Amino acid sequence: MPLTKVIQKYLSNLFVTIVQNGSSWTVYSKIIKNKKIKSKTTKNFEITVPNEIPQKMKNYLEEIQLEYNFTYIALFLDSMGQGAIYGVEAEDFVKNSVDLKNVSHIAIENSWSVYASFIDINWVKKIFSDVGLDFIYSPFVIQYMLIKKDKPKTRPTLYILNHQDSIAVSVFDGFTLKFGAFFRTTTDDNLSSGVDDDWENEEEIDSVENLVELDSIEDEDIGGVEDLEDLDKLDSLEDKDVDFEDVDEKNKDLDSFDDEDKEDLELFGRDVLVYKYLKTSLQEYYKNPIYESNFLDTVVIYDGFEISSELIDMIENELFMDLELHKIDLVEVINEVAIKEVFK
Amino acid sequence: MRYSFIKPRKKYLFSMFTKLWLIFISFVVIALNLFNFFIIYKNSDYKNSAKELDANRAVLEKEIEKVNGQIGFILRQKALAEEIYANNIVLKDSIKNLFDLVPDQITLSRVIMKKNSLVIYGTTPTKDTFNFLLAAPLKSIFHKSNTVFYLTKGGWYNFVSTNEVIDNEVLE
Repeated sequence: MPLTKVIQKYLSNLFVTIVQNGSSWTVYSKIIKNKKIKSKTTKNFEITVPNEIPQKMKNYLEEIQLEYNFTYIALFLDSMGQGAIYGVEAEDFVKNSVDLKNVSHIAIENSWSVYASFIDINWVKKIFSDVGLDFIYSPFVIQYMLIKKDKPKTRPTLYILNHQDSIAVSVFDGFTLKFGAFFRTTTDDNLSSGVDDDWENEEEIDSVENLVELDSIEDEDIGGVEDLEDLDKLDSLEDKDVDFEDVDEKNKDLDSFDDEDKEDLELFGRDVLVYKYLKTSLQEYYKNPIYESNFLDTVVIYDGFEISSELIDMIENELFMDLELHKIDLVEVINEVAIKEVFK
Repeated sequence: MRYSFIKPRKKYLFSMFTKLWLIFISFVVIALNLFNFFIIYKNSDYKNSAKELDANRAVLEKEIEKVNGQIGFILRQKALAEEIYANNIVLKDSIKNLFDLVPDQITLSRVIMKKNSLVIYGTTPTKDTFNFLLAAPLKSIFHKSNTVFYLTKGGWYNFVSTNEVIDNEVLE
């Protein structure tokens, strides 16, 4: 086996990263031979039938796998049933209300774990059953790798990994994750029905599905939840004001919505949602006794999509936190993780 | 460290098709090599037996020479034997002729017969008897004939006749 690895280094290795971006798949492939990059290709495939790979993409993946013996396909997991917790023991999972029997988990740095439900993993495995999958990466692992690449902060810091359809919010102390929460910024309904979704409703649905921890807060600390709701109301009022003013002004200028405006509005709506998730996470981190809540004054955003200046303003002015924004190429980062995992 | 939720699929250096080809090619190579070694072995084997046969041939050739020598010797012996036999017959004939030549009155006491000469010892009643009856035919046979007479007490003569043939071959 090690001999094969040695030989493999000097042959062409194809690393493919697959990420779902809204209603299309991005397939990024990189050929590496003897630690040198031979070529890079990015292809996008529109999703026509939900929960299925488009035929063209299937053909493409099968073709490149025939061409290269050493093909590794890595998928970015952005389904709801996943998360990250501090601790690696069974009791840590119990403490975070995660049922160990139904999740696949990995211990990282021997201090924290990422997990994903068997249902979600089997689901993506089923979608990719025809082409095969080699790696499924949690957003938290990607975040961890990004932190490892940068200089680690001396104090506990809030990190956000921003992807088109989801965000991962986590608190890292050095390389150790203390808190992790995963949110989707779009729902599957949203994909098909377009822009006119009610943001408020959507958030509620996500939160309920998502944060097991929130339920436990409600049980333990009703006051905290009330606070949180109050804040939400306030924010949404403010947001709405801004929102409407903006739209009105633009309506006056252009008489109708064109696509650009629509996109701006969509992005702004998304950022409001991201902001809310961020605040929910902070509340959770500070209020829930299972986390050792250190004061967080810095937020680092790894942006793999888009972030409006409004969100940056909101974070800086309303949460009073320092903000570091790093633009990242998500597919490239995932690719590097896969390469690291294969060649150590 | 493991980062992925799943383990990567097993990767093989060669695809199934390549593997089949490699197995086939290596099988053929092995088979041809075996055949090659077989031929090399047979070749050296034949060379060895050729050498052996060569040595054998040399021995047999020597033996043939020996046998040929023996045959020559035997043939010479045979020729010699035949010659002797023929000589004997000639001798017998000449002795018979000689004795037929001798008349009743003359008695021979000793005859020495050589290849080119004849010496006769005997008794004759008279010189003339000898001269007419025996000396005449002897003279016709031999080139040189010489007789010496001695008178005995009874009035008869003992004689010694020496006859010689001059060999032509020797002369030549």
